[in-house]
Amino acid sequence: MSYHGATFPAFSMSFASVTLDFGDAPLFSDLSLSVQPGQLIWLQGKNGTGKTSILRLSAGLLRPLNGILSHELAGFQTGPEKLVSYQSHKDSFEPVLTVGEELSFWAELYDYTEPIIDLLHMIGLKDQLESKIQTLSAGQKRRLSMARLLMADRPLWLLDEPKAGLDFQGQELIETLIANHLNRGGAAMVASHNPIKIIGRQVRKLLLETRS
Amino acid sequence: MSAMLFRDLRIVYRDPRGWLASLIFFALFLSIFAIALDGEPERLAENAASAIWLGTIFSLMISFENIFDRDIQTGHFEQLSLSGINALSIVVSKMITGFITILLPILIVIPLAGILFNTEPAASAGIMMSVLFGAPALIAYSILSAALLAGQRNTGFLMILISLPFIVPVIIFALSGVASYAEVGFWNTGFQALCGISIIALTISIPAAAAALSTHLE
Repeated sequence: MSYHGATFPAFSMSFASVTLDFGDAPLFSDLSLSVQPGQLIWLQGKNGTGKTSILRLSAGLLRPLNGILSHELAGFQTGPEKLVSYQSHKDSFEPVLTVGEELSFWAELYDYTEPIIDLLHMIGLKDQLESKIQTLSAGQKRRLSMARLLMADRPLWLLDEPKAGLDFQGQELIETLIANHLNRGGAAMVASHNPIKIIGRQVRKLLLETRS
Repeated sequence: MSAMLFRDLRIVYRDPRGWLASLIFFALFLSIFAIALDGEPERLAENAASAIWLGTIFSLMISFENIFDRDIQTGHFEQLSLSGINALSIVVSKMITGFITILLPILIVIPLAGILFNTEPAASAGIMMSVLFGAPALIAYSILSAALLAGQRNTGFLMILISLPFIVPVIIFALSGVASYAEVGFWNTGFQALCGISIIALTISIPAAAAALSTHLE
């Protein structure tokens, strides 16, 4: 479902006493949190403390050992695919295809009907329409994955190191896009080593620590 | 689904190493088989169907071994699952792409293989028919094994172990159909059984492969 720039309906995503285990000691246990419209959550912590795992749990790409995860949209329980967009640290683009070909594919999947060139203009890749993905820099691929996020138009953004590899303008762009998303009633959960600053928005910080 | 298929075909067109490797393997396998039979015309003709069938099976196995790995490693599957597309569409798209880019070239070169193996044109046509009728079953079993083993390394041997019990009946009915083709024509019991096996294989393997693939998305 695409909201075409309109305000998102009410939604929430919550963890209740969630424990995640990869076979050894639990990565975290009894984690409870909830995300509401307009909220920006910054996941902080050293490498290996579970930032990415929280994002993947939220996206339904991991299952918890214990606890309950719920996704609610417009008053109904829903699957994560209706509620979240996930920007992982992987490129998830096909190197031999061009930017235009990849975005056209995702536009068809997400019923995105706006001109792709306008989207590329917005993310600073307007001259790369015919470029193959394999010729793009890491920062340009990061911008491209933001384009897919905008196409998906889901209320909850899950961003894993969104500023990685980006120049100063790119980092500003990410913050502007997040601010616009929050203004539409969306929410974002961001795992990042770099600070996230959105003017006029309070950032909820969640500090993850290694178990001693 | 059409968007997925179009994308998969475009990737194969841009990066043809996969289907070219499979075709080259097929040609090399048949050449070595022919040399091993001392190039005796009668023995070559007798063994043509067996050689072509073995070459087809191994070529398909090699091509399908890592068919899902690229998408898993790049995170493409994760994004697909979050877009709401189901694993069934992914599997069907890969099957059709495999049929067009791997099996069709093999079918096209079978008449040339017939010349190498000194077979009559009618016998070559019979072998082509058998591969055409049996190929959906081969592709279905290959894709099921590939989905079960997706994301793991060095899976070629395991793929053969998993698929072999299912592929043996396909080979038996294919060779029986080829043997009857000259007398009875293409609608003989061997080919009928082959069509039946292909339908059953597709019906079972597509949802099973989709279920196996879904486990990689969690």
